Amino acid sequence: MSDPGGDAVLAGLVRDQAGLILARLHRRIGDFDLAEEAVQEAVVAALENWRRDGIPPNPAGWLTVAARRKAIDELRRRSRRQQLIGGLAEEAAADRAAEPDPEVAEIADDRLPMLFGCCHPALAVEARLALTLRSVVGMTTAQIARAFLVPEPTMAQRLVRAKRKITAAGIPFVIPDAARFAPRLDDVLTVISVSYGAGYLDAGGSAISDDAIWLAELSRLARSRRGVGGHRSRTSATICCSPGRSPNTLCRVTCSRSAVLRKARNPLKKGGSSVE
Amino acid sequence: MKYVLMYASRPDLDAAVPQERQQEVYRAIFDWFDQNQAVIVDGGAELQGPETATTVKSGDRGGAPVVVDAPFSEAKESIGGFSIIDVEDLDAAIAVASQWPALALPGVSVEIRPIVDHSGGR
Repeated sequence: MSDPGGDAVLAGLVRDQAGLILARLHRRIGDFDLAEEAVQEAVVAALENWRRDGIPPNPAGWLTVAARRKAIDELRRRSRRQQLIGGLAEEAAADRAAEPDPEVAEIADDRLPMLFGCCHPALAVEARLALTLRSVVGMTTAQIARAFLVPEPTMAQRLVRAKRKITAAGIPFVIPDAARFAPRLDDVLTVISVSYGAGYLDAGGSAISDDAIWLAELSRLARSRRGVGGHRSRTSATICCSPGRSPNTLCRVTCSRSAVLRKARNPLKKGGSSVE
Repeated sequence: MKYVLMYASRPDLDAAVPQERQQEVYRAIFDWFDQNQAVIVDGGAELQGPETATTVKSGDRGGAPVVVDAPFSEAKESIGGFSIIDVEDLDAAIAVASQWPALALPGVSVEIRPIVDHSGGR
């Protein structure tokens, strides 16, 4: 059967889940480039398969399993990574047997370390921003280039350089420990705040602003995990996050744009806090 | 992962540090090496001053290499020494480098550079 809705489902899925799938795969194999390649190949495979066979019952699970298999294929080609293959293959087998839901509750948890990695102070500020939008949010290089008014090859180059540095310099994708957490959170919030602003500078980029709000929500989660109070929050993006929103119901869905603008124009005053 | 820590400073600013203070920092540096013994795989070396440097540069248009009486960089900063550490990741390297006692002096910096791994890792 041929299902024209497959492409739309896939597009939505890439937007909402690709970052998560990438984050988890990266956590398992520790190779950013390989993880990204595998996810991209999985998306290509989905495009072909779903057009031909229709949308699978669990599209996100399908994509997760496909990405994992692509990663296994690549790792097999790199025979020196034999040890990793065992663990991944087992998981893939379990996935095949159960075709499980990819535990939506873990979404935020898995993307948080990636967010901190992408916003690492060892990366150039503009690279942090681009990398976050690319890897955590799941925007395409073309979209990011358009939003920041640079040619696509320039943006692609910036991303390649940043990813190369992550691998070469050993930048970890972890939530920093308590001692380092506060300054690192500031780095994350800076990126969020800039991406929020960038979204409004670009007429077609409001999605970036919405994603910034979502990222701010994500970082709020990190803060609560580390037991850091909400009073440190000083970015407009963070201000936009009202405490009532659940981190898992991506607030870009629920957030009214006018309400966001209203709050953004009324920046944090003394004693104010985005997180009560 | 292995990283080289390159200790840099500004010779003009170094000269202005009182000798007593310098010795204090020196002692702290010995302590630092003791404390980080576990991750230092090669203590490296402390270098003589940049005024002692000689540089061999590639010659113009494929000519013979040229010998020059200067460090290779015109920068105000000068590398005063280096060590090699082996730690988990960049965050760990930053943690070690941040404790470098000379950072208490003005103009001092530590550059962290990963070492190329020729052992077969990608």
